[in-house]
Amino acid sequence: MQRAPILRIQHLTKRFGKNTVLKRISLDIYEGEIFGLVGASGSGKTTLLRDIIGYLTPEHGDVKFRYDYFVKTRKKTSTPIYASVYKHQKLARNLFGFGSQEPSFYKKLTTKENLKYFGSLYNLPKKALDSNTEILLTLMDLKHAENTLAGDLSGGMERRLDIACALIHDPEILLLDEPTSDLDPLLRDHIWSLVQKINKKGTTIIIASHHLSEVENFCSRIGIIKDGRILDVASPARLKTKYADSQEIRIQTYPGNYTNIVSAIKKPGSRVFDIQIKGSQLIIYSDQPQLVLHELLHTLKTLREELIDISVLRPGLDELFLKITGKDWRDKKG
Amino acid sequence: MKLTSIIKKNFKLLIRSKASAFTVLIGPLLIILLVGLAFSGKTSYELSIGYYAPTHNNLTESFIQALKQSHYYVQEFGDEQSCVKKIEQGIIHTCVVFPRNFQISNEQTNKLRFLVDYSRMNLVYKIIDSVSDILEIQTKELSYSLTQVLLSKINTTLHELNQDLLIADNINPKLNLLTLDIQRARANAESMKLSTRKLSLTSLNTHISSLNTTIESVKEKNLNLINKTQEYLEILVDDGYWDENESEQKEEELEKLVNKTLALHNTTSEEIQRLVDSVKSISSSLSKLESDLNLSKQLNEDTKTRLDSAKNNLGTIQTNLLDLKNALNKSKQNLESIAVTRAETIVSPVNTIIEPVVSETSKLTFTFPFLLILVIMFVALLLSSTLIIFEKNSKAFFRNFITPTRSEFFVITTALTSFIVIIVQTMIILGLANYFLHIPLFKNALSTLLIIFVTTLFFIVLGMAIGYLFSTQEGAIMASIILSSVFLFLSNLVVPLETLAPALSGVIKYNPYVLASELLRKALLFKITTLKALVPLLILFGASIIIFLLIMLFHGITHMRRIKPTEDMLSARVLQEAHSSSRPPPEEGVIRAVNKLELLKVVSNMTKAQFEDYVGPKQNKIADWVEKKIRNKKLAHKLRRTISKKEIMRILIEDIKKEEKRAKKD
Repeated sequence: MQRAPILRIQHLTKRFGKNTVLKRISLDIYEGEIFGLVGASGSGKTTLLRDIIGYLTPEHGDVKFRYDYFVKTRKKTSTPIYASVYKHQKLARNLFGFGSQEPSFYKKLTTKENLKYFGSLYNLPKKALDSNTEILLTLMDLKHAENTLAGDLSGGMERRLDIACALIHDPEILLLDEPTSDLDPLLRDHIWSLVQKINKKGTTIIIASHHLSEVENFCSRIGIIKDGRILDVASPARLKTKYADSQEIRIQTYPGNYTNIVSAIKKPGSRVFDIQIKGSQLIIYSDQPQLVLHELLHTLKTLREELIDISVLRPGLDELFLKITGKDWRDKKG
Repeated sequence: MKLTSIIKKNFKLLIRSKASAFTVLIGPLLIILLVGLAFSGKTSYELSIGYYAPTHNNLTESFIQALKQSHYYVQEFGDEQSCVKKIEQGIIHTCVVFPRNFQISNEQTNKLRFLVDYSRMNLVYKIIDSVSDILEIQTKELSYSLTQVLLSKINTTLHELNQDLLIADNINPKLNLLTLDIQRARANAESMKLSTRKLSLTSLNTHISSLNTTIESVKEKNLNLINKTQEYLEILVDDGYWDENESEQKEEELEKLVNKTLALHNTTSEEIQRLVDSVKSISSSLSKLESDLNLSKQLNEDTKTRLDSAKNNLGTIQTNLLDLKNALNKSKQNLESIAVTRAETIVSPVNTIIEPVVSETSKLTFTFPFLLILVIMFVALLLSSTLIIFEKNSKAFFRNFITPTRSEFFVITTALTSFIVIIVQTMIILGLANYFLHIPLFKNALSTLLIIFVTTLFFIVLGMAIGYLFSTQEGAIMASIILSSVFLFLSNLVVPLETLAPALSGVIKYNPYVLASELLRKALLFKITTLKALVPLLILFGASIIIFLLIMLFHGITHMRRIKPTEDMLSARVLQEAHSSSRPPPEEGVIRAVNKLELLKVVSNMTKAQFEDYVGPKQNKIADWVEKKIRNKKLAHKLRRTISKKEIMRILIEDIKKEEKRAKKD
């Protein structure tokens, strides 16, 4: 029997004036998973997360949590009971923890003070608050900085403190909005390992990012969002299989007037999806690399460009993401 | 727990933000100190006074001394023009020009001239008041001494007149006595019988002769008697009645008696002769006396005439004296009918005496209620608006909101935090005032505290409203200061309300600062009861409630604003447009873009390492690109001020949006 989701996002539509940010989004989140929400900047990730926790109220649709799962009811029912986040705000707010894109704490309070302060807002008993604070300081590797003003923390520590603040009340579901943006690879790894640790303790995590390659190793499922629509939801492996139908041709020429090459091969009806100039290389994406390669070599000859290096590769997840989110563009071109 | 936790957090934020802590915690004490120093005791202004006196005399010197004694800087000028020049240069504030031959006399009108700079609108009247006060006092002193002389003379005259009346009163009875004496003398004179009757001394002689004869006859008879007695004795002896001895004894005694009678007879004759001689002498004297009496009679007649004349004269004098007495009495009555005899009253018939209605002497005591409310107003407005802005602009606002704590709770705790801070400050100030100024705070403690509480509450909610209306701390501070200043300048502390137009003053009396400061003034200085302060207190309290309800409404609106298109979301739209352009991703070291939108895409796609290649503490290639390619120096300057990718993106997005708005307008 298929397990019941703990969170159901149903036909969520959110508008800001005339601008529709979320367009009938539906998603199910399961207990204990790490769900990755991947989309470009402005695709609606943050809005969706804020809608989920009830900070924003949608024009249409609902976000429901599994009431019987989170609230220990006397009656045991075989069918799950769902309650709206918007109708049970107090309960829902205890349910969710939110790690925002920008650190959301008081920079003039110390690490410990911030944790204790936010914990007090959840009506935690003093003992539980002290215990949670200590656990989180250790878990987030912030023990040495417990008396440091939050404003004096490094970027990585700030991020960890923010996550700690989100976890102070021991939420069932943790939402993280781009927790690794602007962090160096080392710090990113640190954050991801923390996310895994938190998840291992039983916390369900929804994580928003615009780097598909970053989330693929940690998320059990990934939802691709673009322009307020969920384009696809699947495991990273399945996404790769599904969308990796195009290949990239990387060339390096001399004198390397790539602009002229791009103009020449980017013709209506061609099988070129996208062309990028990366350093000294020209990267061409196509579902039929043989055809494009043939045309490319002809063009190089015409433009008197000497071929120095050439390779044909399957795209990485970032390219895959671009490919998925750029589907409309490709369709138009195609 | 939650309440204390939030309040503790608010305090920590307040204290750890140095500027806010200084403004809110130290600021009011500094204000009190500075204003206290400005208002304490000294009532004169730091004025420089010049004077020009064409002639110097004691009178001029006394005026100059009076100015010098008032701790003003006093400087003499050789002529009026140089004095005026110094006023124009702002070196001195006023010039006093003394008249030539300045002296007090009936023939002269003395005019002291003040030369002042009317462009110093806020100072000119104070200068005139201050200096003219001093000179007026001096003038009054002169006038006083003159009047004193006048009055002392009148008093002396009155005293002398009283003495004269006493003398006049004494003369009258004396004259009465004199008249009486004269009348008696006249009566005596009239009763005197000065007419002489002729004295017959001859008959006196006759009588004396007769007396002599009688005496001779008595002598003879005595002798006969003695003889007869002798005879009888001899018979007795002869008859034998008596013995011899006895008879001899009786004869001797009889003989002695005869001898004595004979001696007496002889002596009496001599005496009578002498008497006759005397009578003769008297007779001659009487003759002389008669002549004298005749002369006296003539004189007596003359005296009577003269006494009659004197009597008439005395009658006239008496009448005159009575007239004099009446006249003097009338004068006395006239003098006594002058009710005002005090020199001060004569000089200033209507006296203006400025006296404090209460015993407090320091000027600071009177201004203290105004200062205290001023401090409460400034601190409450600044503190509560700052706290709201802190909370609103804090990145933690979002996290606060997503907790199960109701947002209204944060509003209330903000008010409570401000309230605690201000009440503690106020208590410190009150304590200091009580200790140093001896202001009796505890005599009307209930009213005083109630007024302070309600006032604090009002200004806190007003400050919170400002906090909700403005989005930046600078804006909120400016608004708080402007509002406080408006309240302050439209109050009694700066301009007396009575001097304003009636319509304006009618409105201004409901100025919360005026309401509160007047209430506190009355409570501290006049000890008004809570009941009497109830109406203004209710007005303030009612206004506080209304503002608080509006705040809750604003709070809701602000929340709605926050969940409407946020900066991030709007930025996202711009970013979306940027990404939809067909430009390729950034190439290492080269920015391939033709406009800001493309630049934004390039920046947004940069990894941290890529970004750091472009932007660092020593270089900002993005800003360079903007300056060179787009030729937008202003934007480049903005971009150079940061090394954060997010900040650069934000600046670019803002600029793009501004450009869009401008385009739409066009």
